[in-house]
Amino acid sequence: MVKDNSLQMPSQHFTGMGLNPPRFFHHMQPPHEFLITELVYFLIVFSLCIIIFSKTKEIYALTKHRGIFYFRNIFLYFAIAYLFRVFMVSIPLLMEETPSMVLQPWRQIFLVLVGYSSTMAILSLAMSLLFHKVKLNSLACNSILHATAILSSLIFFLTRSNELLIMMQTAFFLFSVVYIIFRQNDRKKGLISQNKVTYILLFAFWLMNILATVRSLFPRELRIPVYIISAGIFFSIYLRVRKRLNEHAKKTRPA
Amino acid sequence: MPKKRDRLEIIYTLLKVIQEKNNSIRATPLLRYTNVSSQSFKEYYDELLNKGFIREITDKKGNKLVSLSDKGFRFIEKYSYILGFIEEFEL
Repeated sequence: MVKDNSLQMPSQHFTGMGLNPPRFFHHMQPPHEFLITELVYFLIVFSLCIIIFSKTKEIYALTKHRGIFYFRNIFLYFAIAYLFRVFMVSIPLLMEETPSMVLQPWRQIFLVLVGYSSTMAILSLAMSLLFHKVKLNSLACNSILHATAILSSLIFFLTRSNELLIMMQTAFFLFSVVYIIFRQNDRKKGLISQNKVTYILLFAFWLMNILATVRSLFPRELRIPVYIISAGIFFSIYLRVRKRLNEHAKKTRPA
Repeated sequence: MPKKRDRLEIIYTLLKVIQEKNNSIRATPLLRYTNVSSQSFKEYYDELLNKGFIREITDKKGNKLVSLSDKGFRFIEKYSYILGFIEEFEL
């Protein structure tokens, strides 16, 4: 596994040592433009996730529905993942003059937190589609989810391999999608419903976020369209939640 | 139909019956109206009581009656939207 060191040393360290700067810096926008892009993107996605989580609080409190529980957790954990992702991206640029040995522990902490929270988001997404078929009680189920996410993040931390994180999360999600497709009983909605397409896109663009952030394989020209589409997916989910839950606000309680 | 939706439907029926009976009814007629087994009814009744959807009151004759709490009213009010949400997101 190729380890990604592109964010560990500022470009001048490389030139000072007679080395070529990493690819990251060739494709990088000026730092302040890059930071603004990342911050705006983060604020939009984070706000949408938190709003969705908040708006569904009451219906969960009233019903204690497991599906609603996992649905809310998708956005709670994505909010946390995007929060630590923006720290991971921004701190090396904001503290470019700081020696990497000072930054390294923080970067490792953020890597673990991004790994854990994003894995929990992916697992919650899978569970929201699969929970009907899982016979375990809520406590056992949630314990397994957290244990899986912690194990994944530890593996990610020990190997420092972004490819491994992507592969693990892809495996979790693909297993769920394949299981649902082949065990689909409700043919009225078709094999792949609009909802499942949205979830697949949500997951796919999260993976692109990981790639764009850490490996910087995305040139600048592709980064912003990816961010716009990704934010658009969250916004579409927010609109659907708002449509379903805002209508009741106009009614008054019966006497 | 998923088991969870059945559970929500039973809870809604139970609460709706209480509301329709002038928000006070004894437990035995409530059991008859909701059309569930007595054991299931007891489980639902205890759950709704513990979670604050219903409350027990005593009339002048000393009969124990059941009435809705604010939470129970809110559940009835939002039931159709809860179902719509569950269906929209295939939960």
